[in-house]
Formats: sequence, C-alpha cells, structure tokens
Amino acid sequence: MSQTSQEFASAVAQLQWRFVRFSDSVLVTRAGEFCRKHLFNLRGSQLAQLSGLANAAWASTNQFAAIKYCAHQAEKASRGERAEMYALWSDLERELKAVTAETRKTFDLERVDPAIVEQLPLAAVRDFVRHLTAEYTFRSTNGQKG
Amino acid sequence: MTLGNVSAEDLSWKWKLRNQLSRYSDGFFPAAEQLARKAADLDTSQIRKLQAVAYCAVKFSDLIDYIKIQTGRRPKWSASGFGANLLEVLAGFPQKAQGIVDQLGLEGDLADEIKMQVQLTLCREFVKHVAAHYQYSNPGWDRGSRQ
Repeated sequence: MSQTSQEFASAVAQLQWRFVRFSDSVLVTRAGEFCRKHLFNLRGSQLAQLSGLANAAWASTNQFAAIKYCAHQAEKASRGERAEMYALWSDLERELKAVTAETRKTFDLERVDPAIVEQLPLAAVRDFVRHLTAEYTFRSTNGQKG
Repeated sequence: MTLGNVSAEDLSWKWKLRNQLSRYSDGFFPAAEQLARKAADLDTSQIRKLQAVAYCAVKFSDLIDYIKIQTGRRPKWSASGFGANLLEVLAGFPQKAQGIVDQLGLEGDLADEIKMQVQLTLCREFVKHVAAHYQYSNPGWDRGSRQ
C-alpha cells in the first residue's frame, strides 16, 4: 500500500471511530431528551409513523429526505388530519436539522471531501432516528409480538 | 525492545488489558446466572439473536437499541424484567471501561478508541455468559426446542 493510500485508510478509520463515539454519546443523548419531551405523544400508531421516518432516512441517499418527511407530516398535521402530532413532527424537523448542523460542526465538514460531507450527516440522521425508535419502543406499552 | 512492529510498551498494556477483561468477565458470572433465570421464558432464537447482535455490533448503542426494541415489543422480554435488567447491567459498562482505560494509563484518542472496544467486549462477554447459563438450564437449546 502506498504512503498516500495508507494515510487515507488511517484517516477513514479515525473518522469511523470518531463517528461511533459521536453516535453513542451525542445522538443517544439527543434522542433520549427528545423522547422524554414528547412522551405524552406515545401511542402505537405513532410508533408506526416513526417507522415511516426510519424508512425515509434509510431509503434516501441524503439527509434531506428525512427532514422533508418530517416537514410533510407536520404540514399534514397542521391541516387537521392529525393535529395532536403537529408539535412532534415540527420539533422532529427542527431536531434533525440541529443534528445535521452539529455533525457538520463536530467533524469540521467544511474542510473535507464533498462525498463525506454528504455521507456523515446522513449517517447521523439515520442513527438518531434509530436511537429514537428504540427509545420510543422501549417506553411504549409492551406486547405487540410474542 | 521491539517484536516486529510491536513495542514492549504496547505489549505490556495489551497484556494488562487482556487480564483485566478476563477478570471482569469472570466477575459477571453471578449476575449473568441470575439474568439467565429471568430469560427462561424467552425463545431460543431470541437468545441466539441477542448473541449475534452483541457480536456484530459496531457501536455500543447498536446493542442497546436492539434490547430496547425487543423489550418494548415482546412481552417475554419485559414481563420477567429480563430486558430492563439487562439494560441496567450494560449501562454500567461504559464506566467500567473508563476505569480499565484509566488503570492502563492510556490517554487521548487511543484511550477513547480502546474504551469503546472495551465496553463492547464487556457486553459480548456478559451476553455470552447469559446464553451459556440459559443453555445449561434449558437442555435441547441446540436443537431449537427446549425439552
């Protein structure tokens, strides 16, 4: 392996474990706090909606799909279809924007490869949604399956 | 002194780390045994999957998220308190990992990286003991049905 590719591999490995640390600490804490704030909204059908958000986050190749999904749900809620969900979705939209902003700041993404600039905030959004779904499921009433 | 690319200093802390992990792992026995009793109602496939997730997890939160989801969805994980108790035990591992790293005298990025690896290793060891006790008290585990 050449010196340059060795340096690149080492930089990628370092970025990877820095992201692991970021997800395990910052994103878990944020998801926990968000869940506590919106605990009153917890019902089975809303958990299903979070699955919709998880699908949006995982199916897309950029972080904006999940944010747009939240904005769309908030807009639907504001029209009265699910008025009680408006606060949750609009807060979630704000939170996801904050998560991407914090990721950019933490990893100083202004100075790195544009491909990574796209991938890290997306990974952060996906991890945040996964932590949030886990937290909500844990706090929800049990017994949907065996 | 060096052995290949590994310095004596490297070997020393790695050896100490291995010893520490073994000591902690052996210390998990009573708690794992107690938890395995609470897991008696779980299906064998659920214990297998838990073990698989613990071994494949890249992040500590991968495993914690999995346990939270299972506990929220499956009554067998919540009724006996298995899921909540397992989470309680695992929640103490980051602190234990920090203690181990401090004892080794590691600092900076290396300390952070080793801490993450150690907390995952502790989780794997604990889950391994739970699965072993579960298997011991539920013969027929390998055949997929408890007899």
